[in-house]
Amino acid sequence: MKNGKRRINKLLVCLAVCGLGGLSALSAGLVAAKEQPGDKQRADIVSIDEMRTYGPLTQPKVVFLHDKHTAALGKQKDFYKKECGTCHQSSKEGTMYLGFMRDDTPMTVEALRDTFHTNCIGCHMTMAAAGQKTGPKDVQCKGCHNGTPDVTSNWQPITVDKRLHFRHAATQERSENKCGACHHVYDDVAAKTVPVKKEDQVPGSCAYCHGEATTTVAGRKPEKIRSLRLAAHGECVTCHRATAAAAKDAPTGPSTCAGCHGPLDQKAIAETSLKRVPADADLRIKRGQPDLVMVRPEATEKPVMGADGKPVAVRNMPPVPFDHKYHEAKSETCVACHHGALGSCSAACHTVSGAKEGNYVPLAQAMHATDATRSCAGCHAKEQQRPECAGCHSHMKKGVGDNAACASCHVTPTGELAQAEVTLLAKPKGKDTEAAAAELAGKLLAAKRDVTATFPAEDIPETVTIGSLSKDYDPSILPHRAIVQSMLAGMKDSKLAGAFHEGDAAVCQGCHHMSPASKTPPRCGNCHPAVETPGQSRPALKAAFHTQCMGCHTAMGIEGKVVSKDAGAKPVPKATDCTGCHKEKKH
Amino acid sequence: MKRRHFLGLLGATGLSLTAGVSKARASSAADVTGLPNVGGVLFDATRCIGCRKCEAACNQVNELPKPAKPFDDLTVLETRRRTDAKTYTVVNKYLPEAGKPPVFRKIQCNHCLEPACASACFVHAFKKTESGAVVYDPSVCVGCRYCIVACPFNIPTYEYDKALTPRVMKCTMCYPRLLEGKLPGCVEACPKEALVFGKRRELLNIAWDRIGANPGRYVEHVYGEREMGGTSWIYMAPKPSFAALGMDEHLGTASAPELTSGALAAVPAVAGVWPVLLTGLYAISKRKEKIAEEEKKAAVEAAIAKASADAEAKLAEELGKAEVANKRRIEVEVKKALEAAAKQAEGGEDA
Repeated sequence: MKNGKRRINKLLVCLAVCGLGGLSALSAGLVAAKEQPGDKQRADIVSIDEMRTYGPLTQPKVVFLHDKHTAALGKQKDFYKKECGTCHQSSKEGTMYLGFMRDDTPMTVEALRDTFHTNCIGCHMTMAAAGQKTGPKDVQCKGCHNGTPDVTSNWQPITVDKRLHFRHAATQERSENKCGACHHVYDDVAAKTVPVKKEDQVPGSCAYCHGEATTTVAGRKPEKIRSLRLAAHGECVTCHRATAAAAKDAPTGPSTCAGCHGPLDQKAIAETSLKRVPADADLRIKRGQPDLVMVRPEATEKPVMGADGKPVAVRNMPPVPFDHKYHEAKSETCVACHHGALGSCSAACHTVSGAKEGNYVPLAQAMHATDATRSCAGCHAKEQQRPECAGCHSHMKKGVGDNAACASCHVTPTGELAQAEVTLLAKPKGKDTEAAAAELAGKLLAAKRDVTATFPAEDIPETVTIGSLSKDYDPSILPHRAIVQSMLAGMKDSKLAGAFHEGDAAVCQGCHHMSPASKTPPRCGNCHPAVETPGQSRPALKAAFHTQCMGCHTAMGIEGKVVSKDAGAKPVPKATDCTGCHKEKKH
Repeated sequence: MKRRHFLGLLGATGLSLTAGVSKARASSAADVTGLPNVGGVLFDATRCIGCRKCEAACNQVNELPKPAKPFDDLTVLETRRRTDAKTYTVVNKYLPEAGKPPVFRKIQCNHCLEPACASACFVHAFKKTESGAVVYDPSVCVGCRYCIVACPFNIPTYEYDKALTPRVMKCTMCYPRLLEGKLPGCVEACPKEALVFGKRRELLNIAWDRIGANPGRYVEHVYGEREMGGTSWIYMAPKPSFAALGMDEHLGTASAPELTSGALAAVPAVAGVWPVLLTGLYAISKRKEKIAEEEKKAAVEAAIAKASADAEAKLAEELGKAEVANKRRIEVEVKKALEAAAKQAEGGEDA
């Protein structure tokens, strides 16, 4: 009985505490709502959950809003004295540590916890004592350890695109060591990282050395290579702040979270870049790369010896003529393709049979994988998702559709060029073959179309009447020629489309699929039965028509929209608008 | 009856119950392996456009009452609907991802391979047929509506508005049409072959082929392949999930009979064994009572007999004693009389 009473008391206390907590949370919520109306999407969310490396968390992680804190501190009178040092310690050399109020030496779990508790609550208390608006200062865990925060992240990674790179380079134009302002390399002799001295020393993208996590290289000094996150924040933000501090109103980059990672700010950066960078500026980042190449395996692989002890001639796929310069213009960074290092993909990493350096991804897979945007086929498949392309391509196989398509890239040269290729392939890849390779690639690519073309307009039927199944509805009259012309208009600026839509009948195959490309393709009913038969995977005629038309309209996003620029043009019928395509029969 | 005897008997009952259970499970599994060519329908949510042609066809071929709003009124899709006594099938609209086009799902009886409704029905009004259809026989139905409760998909409904001949109403997979070699009404009406009728195993192949041929488009799962022991109506959905289309992803793979046969198999056992057992228990205890009663009676009789015998003996003794006393008294009196007579005679002589 006594025990029962005690339990009831406990329950009551619990309920009371919960109730109070709930009330206080409610009031806190109201205050927060007043402070930042509609600011629920933020790019400055830092999740404080470092304790998880020591074991399961006993409290929900703290959702810390970095910009909110820097903004509040910025208003403080004495902030200029300490600036970032208010929360971040620095090394003797002056490098700021990104952890809160500590250096990068390992800590015990208790010490780490106390660092946060003492400093966060301590600062809040001090501010409250001074009568300033501040964060939670009591010992109620929920004030900071809020499991259900009312903010969501809209953080996006920032890409230093070619224009942004150009702008950064422009600021260093007058300095002696332009590239060295940002790009550094490890120097064995000095046993530290030093700025690069010349353009050709730049190792490329930061990501080549600074991986996702901090790496440790034994014997190197310093042993640690910062993660990309630490390196980028350490270098970019520090430089932006230093520039700002050096002179009043000096133009500089953002130092808030949202400044780089907020979607709106990113849009603003892109707009400024368009304005600031002259239209005729050469944005190409020159790293000694070729304009044209013949993509082929390195000849450094171990030769296969025949029974007679002589090396066996190795037959590879015909090399791919590749316009490197054009592809550069189509992507914003080198890393978009050269994800691990600059240089030939097949040299060390993606060898024909795969190597450890390339994670055993062989050359063929590295070029044809459709699930990686850095591969040829993967990037092209991504391009096919554009609305103008998606109408046909969303229903087609991604990547190399069938082996007839191999020759689109692996061009087989004819005549004189065939001889030139034999001569080229006889020599291993190297500096001395570059010129010959570029010349051959140029000639082979010249035979490719730049723009998609099809049959002359008069050969394209103006309308096609679909009526073989007509029962409840009148036949549908398809504006065939207008559709073809509209499709071609959509791809007139795409060199990719031009190069790959080989032959005049290629675009016809978007609808007239599964049969040889022809000016006079077979009727749909040749393959699609009029009546649905059980268990048949090929759709019957009615479904084939509907799937083809509606599938394309939906994928292109033109359903219910007016596409034609003709006066009085009707919108493309919605999928459920039956009479939009065929009138209902009057019985 | 002793406690130990009662527990012993209870244990025996338990054994008889478990024996009954395993038997029931074996018979339900045989039903499925017996239908390798079972028919089914494949629904592909990526193809459905929400035109409600299937609903209209279903209404027409099954001669169901006309709905309040016509079938070409697509505003009804704005509300989440379910099957009812006048509607065998409904199409609902879902928005799995904000800013992306809606996805539609058709709802009707899934025609389970091992139907929960059939396993719950004690008059065998439901039957799984080789065609795939789970058919209902209203002539034997007693209206208990256990089937409605049993269905994991909440499909069967009841004609509550019929006073005299209410029926359980659910999709029949157009069983009468299947017998005529026709397709189910909805399948025939679908303009996009979002519904395909065929042998279930062929449909599974088609489904997995589509998933393989379109990487990234579908959830890599065919709903109904294993759910509740497998259903004849199977589903494909676009990413992210089936749950986004209001489908229960946690039904498990055990069929309803498998889950319930234990309890349900206990019903005949309870109905058959328990009366015998309880009657037996009653009889045994009754018999013991009777014996005790008889023994008691005998004892009482014996006691009574003994008591009366004792009394008689005592009486006889007393009587005997009294007789002796009387005799003696008579003898004494006779002696006295003789002595007095003798005295008188002597005195007379004297006198």
